Amino acid sequence: MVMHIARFYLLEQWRNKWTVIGNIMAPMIFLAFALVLRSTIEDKATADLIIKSQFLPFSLLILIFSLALSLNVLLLSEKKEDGTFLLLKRTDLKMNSYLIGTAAGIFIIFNFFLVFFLACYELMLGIGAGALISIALFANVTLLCLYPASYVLASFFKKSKKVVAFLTPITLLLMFSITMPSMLAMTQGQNPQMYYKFLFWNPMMIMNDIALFELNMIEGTWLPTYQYLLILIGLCAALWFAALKTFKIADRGERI
Amino acid sequence: MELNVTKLSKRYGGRKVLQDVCLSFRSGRTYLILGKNGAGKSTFINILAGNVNSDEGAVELLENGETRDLQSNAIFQYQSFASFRFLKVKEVLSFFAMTTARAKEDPELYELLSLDRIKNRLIENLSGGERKAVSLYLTFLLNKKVVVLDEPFAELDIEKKFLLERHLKEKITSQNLLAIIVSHEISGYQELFTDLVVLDEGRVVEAGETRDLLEKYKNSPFRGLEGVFYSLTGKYIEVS
Repeated sequence: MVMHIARFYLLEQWRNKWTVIGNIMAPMIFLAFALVLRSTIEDKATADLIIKSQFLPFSLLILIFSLALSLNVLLLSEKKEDGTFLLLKRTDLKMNSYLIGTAAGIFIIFNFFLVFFLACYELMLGIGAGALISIALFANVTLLCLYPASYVLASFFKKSKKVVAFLTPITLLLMFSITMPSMLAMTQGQNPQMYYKFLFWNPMMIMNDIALFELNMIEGTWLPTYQYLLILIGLCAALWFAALKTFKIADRGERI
Repeated sequence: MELNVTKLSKRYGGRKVLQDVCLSFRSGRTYLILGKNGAGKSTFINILAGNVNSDEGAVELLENGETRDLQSNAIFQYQSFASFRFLKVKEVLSFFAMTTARAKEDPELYELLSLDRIKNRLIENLSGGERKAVSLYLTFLLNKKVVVLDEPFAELDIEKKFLLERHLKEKITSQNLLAIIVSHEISGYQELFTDLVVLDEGRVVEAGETRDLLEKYKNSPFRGLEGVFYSLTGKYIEVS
């Protein structure tokens, strides 16, 4: 049943392709800029440095953010708003099966674009298979960790239109809290990891650190991999707990 | 089956939307909930649907004297259907047939609602009437014992309205369903409604068998159910 739900979900997303395209637009723009940068700058080493330290990690972070959060928060609030969950409650389908099915759909879409972006950067930079596999695995772990946050966010919005407005400051919080200090520290010749003790709550920091390490931009990660995994598992568990406490399939009193 | 509603009250802010509503519904009968806009009809069915909590009162479904879960035995058809916007009609129907063990196809209703004509169209691209038709078909596809319909005749053409009335009447009787219908369209459909509940300003002003009420208020200046409503409330019912 879960795979049937995933199939229907993928079918809906395929036909609603402009929403998906909108969600991958930012990493696509970074990829395009990276291509332009590499083909126009004569100093290839500098171009590679900028792409590896900024463009590639940022593409991955925003792809994770878009698919784990934006796309699913919007989907959940729309389904709440149009009464789909209430209708599904009248069927024999277990709500968990439906939610796992849609998660599987998002997972498939994410990995399709992840492979696409990594392949493009590989062709451009020649990163190496080992590094790509590590980055891809950690990207999936980060996606899984962040995914329940979409349920927590969706529980605060009664209208899907409000979701779009609130996603921008959330993006700033999750993304720029990582990328801006990293970029500023690097331009000052400082180690970006000096800020990480303030950012351990943000899974994007872990993804960024792992990506920079795998791309040989830093000598070592801030914490060992197993500790990062423990933090991600802890964050994921806390987010699932919050999601189970807050998410409701309908806001009582709202749908009249 | 018997659905008992006891002292149901609901207030939004300072405004009382439902006040001490006590009603009893039985299987095999079709109840028309009649009232002007703002009379409390939508709030009433939303409380039955479990979408809205009442401030006071209780709703209980009984079968042979034993309490049954209302939500798993009832289906509520809403005025508009906007779920799964990027699936085709046939895909939505197959999705619900696949996810409901007791799903029951109704070829006659399928034909009557002209679903064959729109089966390959996306829900997103359907008109209001076509979405209503899909919603209505799904309501019966899920095959529940308690059926609540919200304006089932709205946005359908005259021929379909007539055929639908006949089909619903036969279906409700043959399957011994408990049907509750909220509708402004009553002219010409009074054969369908075995019982009438008149709501005004959140209160039940009259409830009983349609034929008894038609007899009781036969001296109304208006004919049929409009006359009953006018006699009880002094108001005209809006006809869509």
